[in-house]
Amino acid sequence: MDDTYADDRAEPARSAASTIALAAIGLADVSSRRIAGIAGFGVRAVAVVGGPVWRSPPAAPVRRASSSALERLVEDGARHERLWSAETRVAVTERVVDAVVGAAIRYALVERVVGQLVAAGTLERVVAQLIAAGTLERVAGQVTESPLPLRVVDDMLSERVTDPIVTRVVESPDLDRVVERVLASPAVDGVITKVLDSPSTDRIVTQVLASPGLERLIVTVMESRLVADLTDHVVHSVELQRVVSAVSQSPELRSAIAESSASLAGEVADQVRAKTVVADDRAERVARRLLRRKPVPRMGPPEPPSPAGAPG
Amino acid sequence: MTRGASPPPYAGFATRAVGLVVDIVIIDVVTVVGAAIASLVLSTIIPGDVSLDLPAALAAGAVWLISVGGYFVLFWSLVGRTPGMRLMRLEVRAADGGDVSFARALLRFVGLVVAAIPFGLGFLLTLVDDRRQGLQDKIGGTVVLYVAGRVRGVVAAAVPDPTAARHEAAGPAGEVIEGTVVPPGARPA
Repeated sequence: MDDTYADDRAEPARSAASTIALAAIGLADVSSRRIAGIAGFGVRAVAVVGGPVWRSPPAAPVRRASSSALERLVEDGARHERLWSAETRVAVTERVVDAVVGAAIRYALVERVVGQLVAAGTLERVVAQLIAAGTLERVAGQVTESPLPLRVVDDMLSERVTDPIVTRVVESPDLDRVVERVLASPAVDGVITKVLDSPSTDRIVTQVLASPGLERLIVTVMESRLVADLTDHVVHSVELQRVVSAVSQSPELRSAIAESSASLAGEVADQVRAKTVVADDRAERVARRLLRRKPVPRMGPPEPPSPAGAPG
Repeated sequence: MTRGASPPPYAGFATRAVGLVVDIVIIDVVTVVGAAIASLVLSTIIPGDVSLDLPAALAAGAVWLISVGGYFVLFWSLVGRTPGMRLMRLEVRAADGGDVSFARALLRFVGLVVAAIPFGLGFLLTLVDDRRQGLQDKIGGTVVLYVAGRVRGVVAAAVPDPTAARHEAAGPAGEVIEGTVVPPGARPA
């Protein structure tokens, strides 16, 4: 019997999804520099070999034909760019978002994917591996140091397409259901706990918070029209007014306010009482000394009952 | 919870005085508001100026005295404490440890008036008495105790010998359970 196969069998069973996810992460983590190197070499090789060939006299007809084709493409692009107005873009984006969200909801896509990931424990293992390998930390460092996020956010905020996408997604009636289901999963709990307990999380958070890039990003987002629009939308929404009305009329809130008021009055009374009890004894001592009477040993007032479980 | 044989915690002059001041404020507020409402109602029924002659003033004074007396007597005899005493967590009990009866409460109110007449000198007796009894307590046969929390519906309070603190060897005379003086053998279930 081959020992290698025996070792393979001894490993814990791993689902196909988790194997693929781990392989993808491993590949991205290990060979990113190698891929970049190969790509750079390819570009250089094309530039060195292709340049003289392209400029040679035999290639002139091809060069002319391709330049005229390119010019036509550029003209077409410019014409389409004018036709491709903001309204058209918004309408198309809305349709695309509707189609994507509709398909995701119709086929319970998100739920199924998350369910698979959760059931196979992939999510948990992936997060553990990301934390252990320090990948998250490196990515966070690169992201915060790079101007790319700022540019991306800037572009997104300057486009009028972001509003409808956000609105569509937020107003989707099934979003609540999906989020609820994901949050109710014990595996997600475990992942969150693991992430929060990890020392890497501390380092990442510190690193991200200390970066000037994040500050610029937050300022850009906060100053954008999107935040103001979203805030207006939320403030004027019927749902928020209903929530505020329900909260203000809730008997629990009222009893909590009454209780806190009563406890404040009780605390004031306790303070006054503590002082008067001391004054009781002092006044009595003075009076008895004046009348040359023997002082009486006193027991102080009984302590209030301590809460259940408290010592004493 | 405080548990064990010990002398009862008699309430002293300052705490009782604050409780009495709170009661007086409550009485005054109720009286002023009540008088305002009454005068408003009367002004709508009786047109013109209403002058207060001597019999009417005496009647009003009698009503006021009865109201104040009713306030104290009813609170002492029904719940063993007025709102002011409740705020300061005090309790009035008969000197023998029993509840304050209506008659005893009435007698105590008379004692309160008597103690107040010589510029409150009757109250100062609290400072020198072994059981911190004022003149109203001597007349009514009552004592005032500190309590820790809310008065519970337990069988309460045989108040022991006034000199119990000096004669603890004579044996336990009562226990303080959650702020209420409970006689031996009468612990709450």
